[in-house]
Amino acid sequence: MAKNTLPSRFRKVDVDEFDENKFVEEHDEATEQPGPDTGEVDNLIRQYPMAAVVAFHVALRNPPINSKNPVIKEKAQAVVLRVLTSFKSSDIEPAVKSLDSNGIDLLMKYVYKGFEKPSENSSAVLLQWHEKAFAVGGLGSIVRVMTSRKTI
Amino acid sequence: MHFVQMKTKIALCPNNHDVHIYKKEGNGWTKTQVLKEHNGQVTGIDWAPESNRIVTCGTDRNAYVWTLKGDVWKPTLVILRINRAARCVKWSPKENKFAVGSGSRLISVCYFEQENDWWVCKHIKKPIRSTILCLDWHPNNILLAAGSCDFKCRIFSAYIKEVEEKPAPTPWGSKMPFGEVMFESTGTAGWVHGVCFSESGNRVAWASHDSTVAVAEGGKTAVITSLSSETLPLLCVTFITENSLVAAGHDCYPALFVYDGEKGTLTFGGKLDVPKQSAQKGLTARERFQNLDKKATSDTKEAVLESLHKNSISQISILQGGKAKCAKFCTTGMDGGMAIWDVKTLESAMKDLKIV
Repeated sequence: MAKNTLPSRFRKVDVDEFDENKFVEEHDEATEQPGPDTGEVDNLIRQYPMAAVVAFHVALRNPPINSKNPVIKEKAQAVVLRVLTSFKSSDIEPAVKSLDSNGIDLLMKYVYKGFEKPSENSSAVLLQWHEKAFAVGGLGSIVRVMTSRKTI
Repeated sequence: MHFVQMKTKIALCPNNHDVHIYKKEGNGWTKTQVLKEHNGQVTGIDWAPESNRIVTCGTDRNAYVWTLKGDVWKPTLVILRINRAARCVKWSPKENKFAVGSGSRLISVCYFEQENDWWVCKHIKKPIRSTILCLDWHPNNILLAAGSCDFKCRIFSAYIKEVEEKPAPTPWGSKMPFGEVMFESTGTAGWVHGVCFSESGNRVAWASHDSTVAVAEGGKTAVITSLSSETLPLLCVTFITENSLVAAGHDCYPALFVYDGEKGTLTFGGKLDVPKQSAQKGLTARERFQNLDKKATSDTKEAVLESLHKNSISQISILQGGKAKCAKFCTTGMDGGMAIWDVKTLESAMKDLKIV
């Protein structure tokens, strides 16, 4: 086999960084949200089924949309997934109905994010939530997940 | 397919390098002329009714202004000075200028220079960061709304001192030097596919790829109201009264939206295409089983679109009545079809529909 003896450091240069026409996202002035409060959510899950819907709403509060910190985003995703899996199938629909249109869009975002990294039973649960959220939000809510540049 | 309609004539491009002109004869349309000059697909056509000139733009980075000499349309090349495809073109209300949106991330505003007998253009570049998809002129002939792939709808001043007087103040602002940004949208994401000024010019509506439609009202600070819909993204939007919008897109039917300036709300007013109920035929047991085997469902609904248009609607044009009291509008789609809708008939056919 031929061995490369010439300098090849140039191959590690990211040429896209030097593109003067590169689209740079404008910095959003909004404050960074810290993600839902794990402690509060845990407490409420333990009180299932009474506080289930409350846990649900708390988990959807403060989505880490403007954050560039992947740790915060991972944590938020884990919290939401825990709440979603703790629900009984029959309780999903009323919980979804209690959300407003922004809530539905946010729920859809978490569902699709959950699909990206499936764990044991997560996809089956997420599919149930997806079906109920789709019934309310329609194709528009899915389109907004795909087109939104503010990822959770 | 792009098209423009005058009272009895239509200019359209069947997705190739040519423009076909049709004339209405009785109940049908006959092709009268074919305009061949573009070297690339024609992406925009606009017909100026008063001066009877057609402007076309295409992926060959050129625009041509066509004037009728006898029975033949003669083209005049307009140098746009762009290095990407032209995407859309619109004559200004007074027909002394036209604007071309392109993939070069700028708008070319063209006007005729008498002494050189030649169309000249000026560029609006800042702060556009991506392709311009759609344009609409304000009735004052100066302000221009542009929807772009950089997720923004903006209103620019396209004031050309060589051809017009300084404009009077409008709700969008009073100082309007060429290229000034009078308004930039916030709150919606997604490419802006369609943009439209209301008849008065005080409101502008736009449809974005995130399945939203929004209206902004000019003022000291512009007030933006948007609606997230449950449908697929809309591609085109137009005002039919000062408060009502008709929009259509990938769902293949036009829909009504109502704007209430006082309450600050934008609501869905109803689908305007209610397909006739086709007779439901019963399924035999064999057919049920076949459906189950083929489609994993024994649902009797056929996988056929029941709407009039069988593919996305890409353009809506007002035919009669203007944007304040539209009586007829026309939709054209990617199915190559053109449908004319009568507002009065729609109002009486759909009992909960109210056009305010």
